[in-house]
Amino acid sequence: MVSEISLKHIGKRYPNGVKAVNNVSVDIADGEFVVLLGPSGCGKSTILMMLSGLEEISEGDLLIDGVRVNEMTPKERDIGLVFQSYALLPNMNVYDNIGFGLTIRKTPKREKDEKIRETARMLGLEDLLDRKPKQLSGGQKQRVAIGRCIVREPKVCLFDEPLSNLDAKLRVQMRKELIRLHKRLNATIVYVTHDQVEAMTMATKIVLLKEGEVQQIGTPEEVFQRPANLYAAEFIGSPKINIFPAVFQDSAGGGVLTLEDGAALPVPPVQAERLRQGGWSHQPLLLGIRPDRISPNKGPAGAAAIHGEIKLVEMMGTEKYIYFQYGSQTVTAKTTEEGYNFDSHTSFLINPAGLVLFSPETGQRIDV
Amino acid sequence: MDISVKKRKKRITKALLIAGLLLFFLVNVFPFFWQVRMSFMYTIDAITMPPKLRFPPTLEYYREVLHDRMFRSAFFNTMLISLTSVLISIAVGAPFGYALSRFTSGGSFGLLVVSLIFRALPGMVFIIPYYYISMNMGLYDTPLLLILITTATNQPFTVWMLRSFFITIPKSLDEAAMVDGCSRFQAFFKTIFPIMGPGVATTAIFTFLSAYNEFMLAQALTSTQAMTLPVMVSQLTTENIRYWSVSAASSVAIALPAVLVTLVMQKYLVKGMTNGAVKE
Repeated sequence: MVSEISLKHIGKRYPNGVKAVNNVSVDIADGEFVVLLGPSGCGKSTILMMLSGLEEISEGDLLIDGVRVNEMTPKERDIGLVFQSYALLPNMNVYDNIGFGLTIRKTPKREKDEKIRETARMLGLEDLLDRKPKQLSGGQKQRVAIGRCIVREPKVCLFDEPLSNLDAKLRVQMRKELIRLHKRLNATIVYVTHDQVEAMTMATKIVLLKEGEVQQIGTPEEVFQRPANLYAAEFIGSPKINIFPAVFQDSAGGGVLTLEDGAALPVPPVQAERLRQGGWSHQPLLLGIRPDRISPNKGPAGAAAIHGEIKLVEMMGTEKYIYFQYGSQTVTAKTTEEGYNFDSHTSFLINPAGLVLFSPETGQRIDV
Repeated sequence: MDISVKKRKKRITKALLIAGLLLFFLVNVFPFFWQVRMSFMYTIDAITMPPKLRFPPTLEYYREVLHDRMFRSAFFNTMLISLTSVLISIAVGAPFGYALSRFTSGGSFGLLVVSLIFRALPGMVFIIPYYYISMNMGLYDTPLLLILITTATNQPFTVWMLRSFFITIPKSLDEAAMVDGCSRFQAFFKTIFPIMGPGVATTAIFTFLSAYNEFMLAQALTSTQAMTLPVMVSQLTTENIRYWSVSAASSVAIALPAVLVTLVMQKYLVKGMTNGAVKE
């Protein structure tokens, strides 16, 4: 079944005047795994509730398979929803919980039984069918909630922060299971989370939100490599991207980005030309560099090196995060090398290949 | 402070606490115990001073009470009024309480508070209008009148209590049911109501006891046809010592259903009253 969803200028205004969602437009193709990502209060769950029909849409149109569904009840929209709190019925066993939607829709008994058992098998729940929710672990409850959603084969499955209540280990495991399930069912999924790792690992498309507005829509690679603005750059990536104030110095055959302590990063000729054409010559701009593009400098300190005092070294296993003081800001570098101590002065090299530039006025990325 | 002194202090505090509780228990239970004792004594033994500790027990007064047509009629009336009142109160209060727990806008909560204030007013305030209306409508001295009145007076409390139970049930349960294909009403009846056992039981017990023990309005608005047990027993309590043991036996007899209901339902009562104290 082809399931395409289209949100056209969707908005949500509450009776008290608060506008939780503003002018959100997203197209979701059949079989896509779309993650609505953003911090608490950014409107991502509200969008999901509007998709499900549990929340009224104040503005715009919601189309499912080309049909406007704004006024349709959740039942008429034929969607499935997995809640963060699982929302399992405590008085029913796993079998009845999974089959609840089928029972309500009066699915013939035999067909219902086959579907429940097939779903339970897929989710590894076949031995737990007689158990009540209180006899299940968090991960098992979450699987039952997913089973309850997918057993009906709805047009789209909505997930509202489904892994938030699980511990870190189980979260990683469930993440893998969800990816596998998506591949196997090829279902259209809309998934809400504030966890960028979940978004980056599972999504085929990320919709990044801030204060009810879309900041960027793209694949995880696009959002990471080419963030649309400062907010997107800072939200995605762990540790956070480093932002340096810089000035583009134009010169024949290229140019340099000069940082506040005079360090000069060479800009490749093509990018320099684009900056020139964009009118950025001798203009201040913001330079974004991911921590993995900054590494301790072992050679002689050249013009592209920056110097700082190491304030903290975080051991993360094979790699380490080095936090050092550079002028008035703390910069993060990522390395796999040993031998860096607190309070030692070190020079670091910036690899200009991964730099991203932003306008200081608008915060938007400068396309180079 | 020395550990042994500390221990002694703790023991004395505990002993005082137990003594206090025992006293409280005796003050509360002793009159009822005295009544039970009297109900098994011949009148002559019951009025002897000083009170007799040993006496030949008898069931004569119970037999007399249970064979009394007036008692049986009053018992039937009381049960009919109480149970019907419970049924209507729960049937109306459950969807009402559910709606108030889910839709908080539109001054609905204010309406509930106003109706609770109405409930808090002394019953005496309503006797004259109730009397006037019932006489005019031909409902005076009918069980239907008491059913309507006990339901009306208990309804705000029932709604309030059920609402406070519904609030403890996560909204996601009914929302998940609606996504699965239920209407709002189906979501309520198929998912929320079935897990409300303790809440419904607690509310039902309180409503039942309130209706069962209703005295003042029943006294004013009935005479013979719809007389209830509390009214009947109060009429037996006269200065005529002949009726003392009969009165005691009937008092114990009317207390039994209430005690039984509470005992049978106490598991739900405790569960229901502590429900929501700690959010799961």
